[in-house]
Amino acid sequence: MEGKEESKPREDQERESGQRIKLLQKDLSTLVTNTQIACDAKMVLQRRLRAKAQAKRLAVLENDSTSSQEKSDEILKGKSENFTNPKAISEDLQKALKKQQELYSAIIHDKKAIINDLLQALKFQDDNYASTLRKNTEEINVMIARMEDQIKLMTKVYREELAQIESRHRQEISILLTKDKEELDRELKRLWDEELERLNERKKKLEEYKREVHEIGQESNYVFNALDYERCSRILAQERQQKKNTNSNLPLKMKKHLYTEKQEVLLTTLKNIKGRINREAREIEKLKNIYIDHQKKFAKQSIALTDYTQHIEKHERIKNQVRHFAAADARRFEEVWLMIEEEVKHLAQRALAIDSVISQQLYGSPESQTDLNLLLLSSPFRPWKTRTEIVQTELQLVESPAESHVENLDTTGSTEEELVFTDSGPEWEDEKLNEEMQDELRELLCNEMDFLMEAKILKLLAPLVTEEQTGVKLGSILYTLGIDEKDLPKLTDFLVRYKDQQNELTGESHRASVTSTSLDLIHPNHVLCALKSFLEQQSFRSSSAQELSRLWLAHARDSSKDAAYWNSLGNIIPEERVKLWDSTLRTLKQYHTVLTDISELIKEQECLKKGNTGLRLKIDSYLKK
Amino acid sequence: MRIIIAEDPNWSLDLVPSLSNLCQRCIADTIEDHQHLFEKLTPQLKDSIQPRLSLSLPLHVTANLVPDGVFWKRCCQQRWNICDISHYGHSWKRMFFERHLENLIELFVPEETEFKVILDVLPLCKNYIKRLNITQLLLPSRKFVKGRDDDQHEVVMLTNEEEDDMAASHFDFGIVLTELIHLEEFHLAYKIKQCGMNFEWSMFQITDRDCRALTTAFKACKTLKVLRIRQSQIDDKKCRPLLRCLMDHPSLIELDLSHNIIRDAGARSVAELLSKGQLEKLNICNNEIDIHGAKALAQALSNNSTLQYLNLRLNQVKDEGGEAIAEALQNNTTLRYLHLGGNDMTSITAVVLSKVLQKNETLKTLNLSCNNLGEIGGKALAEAMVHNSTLTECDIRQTDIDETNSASINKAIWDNQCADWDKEVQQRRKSTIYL
Repeated sequence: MEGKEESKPREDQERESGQRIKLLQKDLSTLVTNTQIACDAKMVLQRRLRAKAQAKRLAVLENDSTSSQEKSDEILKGKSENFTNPKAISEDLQKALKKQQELYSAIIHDKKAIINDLLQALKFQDDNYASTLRKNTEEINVMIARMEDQIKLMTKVYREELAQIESRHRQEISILLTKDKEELDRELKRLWDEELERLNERKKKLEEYKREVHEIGQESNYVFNALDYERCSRILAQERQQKKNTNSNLPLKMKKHLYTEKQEVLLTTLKNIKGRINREAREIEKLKNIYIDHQKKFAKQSIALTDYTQHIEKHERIKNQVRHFAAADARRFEEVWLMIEEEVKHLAQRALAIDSVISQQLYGSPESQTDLNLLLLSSPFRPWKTRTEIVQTELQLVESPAESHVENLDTTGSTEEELVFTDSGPEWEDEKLNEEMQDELRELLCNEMDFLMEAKILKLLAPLVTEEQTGVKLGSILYTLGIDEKDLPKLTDFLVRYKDQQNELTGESHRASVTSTSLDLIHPNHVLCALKSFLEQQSFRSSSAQELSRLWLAHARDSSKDAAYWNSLGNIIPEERVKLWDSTLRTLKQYHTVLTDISELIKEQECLKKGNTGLRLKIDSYLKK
Repeated sequence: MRIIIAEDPNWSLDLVPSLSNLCQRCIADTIEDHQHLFEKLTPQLKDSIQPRLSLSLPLHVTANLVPDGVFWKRCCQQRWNICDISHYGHSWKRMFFERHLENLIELFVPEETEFKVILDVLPLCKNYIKRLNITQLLLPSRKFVKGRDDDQHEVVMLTNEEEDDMAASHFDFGIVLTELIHLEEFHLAYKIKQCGMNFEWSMFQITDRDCRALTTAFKACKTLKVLRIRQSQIDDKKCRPLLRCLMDHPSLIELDLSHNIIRDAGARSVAELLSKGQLEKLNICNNEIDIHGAKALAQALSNNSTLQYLNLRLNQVKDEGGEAIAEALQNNTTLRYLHLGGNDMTSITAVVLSKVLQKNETLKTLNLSCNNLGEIGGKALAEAMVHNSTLTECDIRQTDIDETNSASINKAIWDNQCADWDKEVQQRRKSTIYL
C-alpha cells in the first residue's frame, strides 16, 4: 500500500516534468514557427497586393481595349460610309479623314497614356520591391538580434530554473534519504535487539546442555574403567601361568647353549689362527723380497761409496793445499804488516823530529822530542788469537760464580799437561766401556754446555726426541769448542782421568767406581773445568800450521781496531800542529819572497855601486886629466 | 629462461613494438601493392590498421578494400569541416562517397568537363550511396559569356527559347541513376549558388531536355524512395511527363515539388499520381495551385489510402478548394498531417473543417495559419475541438480568431497532447514490464 502511495506522486512528478519539457519544446519551436508564419503572412499579403494590382491593370487594359474597340468601330463605320458613299464630296471625305485621324491619335494617345501608366507602375513596383527587400533585410537583422537576445535571456532563465529544480530535487532527495536512513537505523536496532535476545537464550541452553553432557560422560567413564581393570587382571594371570611353564625348562636349555657357544668360539679361534699363519707367510715373502731389494741397493751404494771416498781424498788434498796457502798468506801478511808498521813508525818518528825542529827553530820553544810509543796505541795485531781462546774467555765469564774451580784448574794446570802428554797415546783398550762412557759423556756435555749454544737453536730443538736433541747439540757444541768428532773418545778419557786427578787432589780415590757407574764419570760441576783444561791441551797439541790456519779462517781476525791504530799513526802530528805548519809555511813563503826581493835589490845595488865606482874612476881619471 | 635487461633504466619491454604491430605497419605501408594481405586480415586487425593508412591512397584501392571506419572518418574530416554523421546513417564511408559524388556533379560543367571523371568514380561508390543531395547544377559556360556580353542577345535568346533549350542542358543523370543500385533519396535543385551579378533566369530553371533526361533516368532507377526537386521552375508542361513516368514507379514514397510553378494542371497530374501510386508524403507548397487543382487533389485524397502527409502551404486553394479537401478528409483515414497555411481561406472552410474534425480520428496535425478564418471560424473550430481527441497540433496563428476561442482550442490541443503522452508512457512502461 505504502509503495503505491509513494509511487503515485512520483508518477505525477514525472508527468509534470514531462509536460514541462514538452511545453519548453513548444515554446522554443514557436519562436521559429512564429517567424515562419509571419513570413507566410507577408507572402500572402504581397500576393494579394500583386493580385489586386494585376486586376487593376487588367481592368485598365479592358477599358482601354473596349474604348479602342469603339473607336476603331467608329473609324471602320466612317470608312465604310465613306467608301460606300462614292458620291461624297472630297470635303466630306477630308472631314471624315480628319475625324479618323483624330480618332487614331486619340487611340494612340490613350495607348501611350496606358503605357506610361504601366511603366510608372512598373517603376513603382521596382522601387517597392527594392524597398521591401531592404526592409526584409533590416527585419531579418532585427529578428536575428532579438532572437539572440531572447536566446540568451531564455538560456539564463532556464539555467536558473534548472538550478532551482536541481536544488529542490536534491533537497527532497536528502530529506528522503535522511528519513529512510532513520527508519533503517530503527529497524536495524530492533532487529539487533531481537537477535541479541535470541542469542542469549541460546547461550543459556547451550550451557545447560554442556553440563548434562559432562555428567553423562563421567558416568560412562567409570563404567568403562571398571571393565578395563577386569580385563587387565585376566591377562596378567594368563601371563603369569605362561612364565611359570617356561621357567621349569630353563637350566637344561642353558647348559646346551653354553656348550654350543664354546664350540663355536673354538672353531672361530682356529680359523683365526689359520688365517694369521697364512698372513704371516705372506709377510715373510714380502720381507724376503724387500731384503733382496735392499741387497741390490747396498751393492749399488758400495760402488757409489768407493767413488765417494776417492772424492774425499781429493778434497783432503785440496784442503791441505788451502791450509798451506792460508798459512803462507798469514805469514806473508804478518811480514808485510810488520814492515809497513816499521816504515810508518819510522815516518812518524821523522815527522815528530821535524816537528820538534820546527818548533825549536821557528818558535824558539825548545820542545823535547815526544816518544812515539807514548803516542801510539798498542798494536792490534795478534795473529794467533784462536777460537779456543775466545771460548775460554767465555767460559771464564760464565764461570764467575765458580771461581774456586778456576783456581783449582790453575793450580792443576801443570799436572794436567803432564797427564795429557803422557797419556795421549792409544790408551783405551776397553772399547765397550768406552762406548758407554762416550754416550754418557755426550749427554753430560749436552746438558752442561747448553749455554754455548744459541737460544734460537735450542728452541728449534725443543720438540725433538732427547736422543736426536743430544746428537744435534753435541755437534754444535763440539763445533763451537773446536773439537773434532774423532777426539771425542780422547775427551772422555781425559775427563775420566781429570776426575781421578781431582780425586787425588781431594784425597779420595774412586778409580774403581768410575768404570762401574756412569754417574761417577765426572761430576757435572767439574765438567767445565775439565773441558777448559782439555781445550788448552788440545790447543797446545794442535798448534800445527794446519790447525792455526783452520782457526784463522774460521775466525776472521778482528780488524775493528786496525783503523784506529793506523789513524793514530797517521795523526801522530795533531791537526792543530798541521795548521800551525800551514800558517808557518805561508809566512815563510812570504818571508822568502821578501828575501828574494831584497836579494834582487841588493844585486841592483851592487850593479849601481859598480857603476858608481866606474864613474868615480872615470871622474877621477877625468879630473886627473 | 634468459632475461635481458638493458643498462638504460628507462628501457622496458613495452617500448619494443610487437611483431604483429610491425606487420600491421608494414601492411599499412604497402597496401597499394599487396591488397590481398589486407583482405585476409580479421575485422579487428583491419580496424586497428585503419588509423595508419595514408589518406593519399587512390580511391580505386581503398573504395572496396577498406571497410567503414576510422579511415573514412579521417578522409571526411580532411575534406570537410562539418561532418554530421547522423545524416548519413552513421556511416563515414557512405558520407564520404555521397559527398564526393555530389561535389563532382555540382562542379560538373556540361560540354567541358569530361564525363569520364564521373564514370570512373561511379563503379567505386555505387555500393555505398543511398542519397544524392544535389544543391546546384552548372550550365555550359558558353551561355554565360553570351548573356553577359550583350543584353540585346537576351531578347533573341528568349525568342528562340526552344532552340536554346535544345542546346542548354544540365548534367545528365541517366547513367548515374542507373549505376547507383542502392539509391533511395534523390534531391535536386536546378540553380547555381553564388552566381552574383551574372544572374540570369535561365540559371534557375529546369529545361525540357533536362526533363526528358530525368524521365528516362527515373525509369531506370528502381530503388528510389524519395524524390525532391525544389526551386527549379517546373511548370505544368514539364511537370506532366515527369509525374507520368513516376506513376508506375515501384518504390517511390515521398515526393517534394515545393517552390515550383506546377499550377492546376500540375496539381491534376499529381492527383493522378496520388490515385495510382503509393505516395506517403507529398509536399507541393508554393506552387500556385488554384481551386481546380485543389479539387482534383481532394478527389484523389478521398480515394487514397496511403498518403499520410500533405503540404499545400502558400497555394491559393481558397474556400472552394478548402471545402473540397475538408470533405475529402471525411472519407480518408490515413492522412495525419495537413498544411493549408496561406491559402486565402475564410470561415466557410473553417466551418466545414470543424464538422469533419468532430468525426475524423486520424488527423494529428493541422496547420491553418495565415488564413482569414475570423471569429466564426474560430468558434466553429473551438466547438469541434471539444469533441476531437486526436488532434495534437493545430496552428491557428494569423487567422483572426478571437482570443477566447483560440485559448479554448489551444487548451483542447494541450489536453490531447497530454493524453497522448500519457498513453505513450503507459505503453512504454508496459513494454518494459514485458521485457
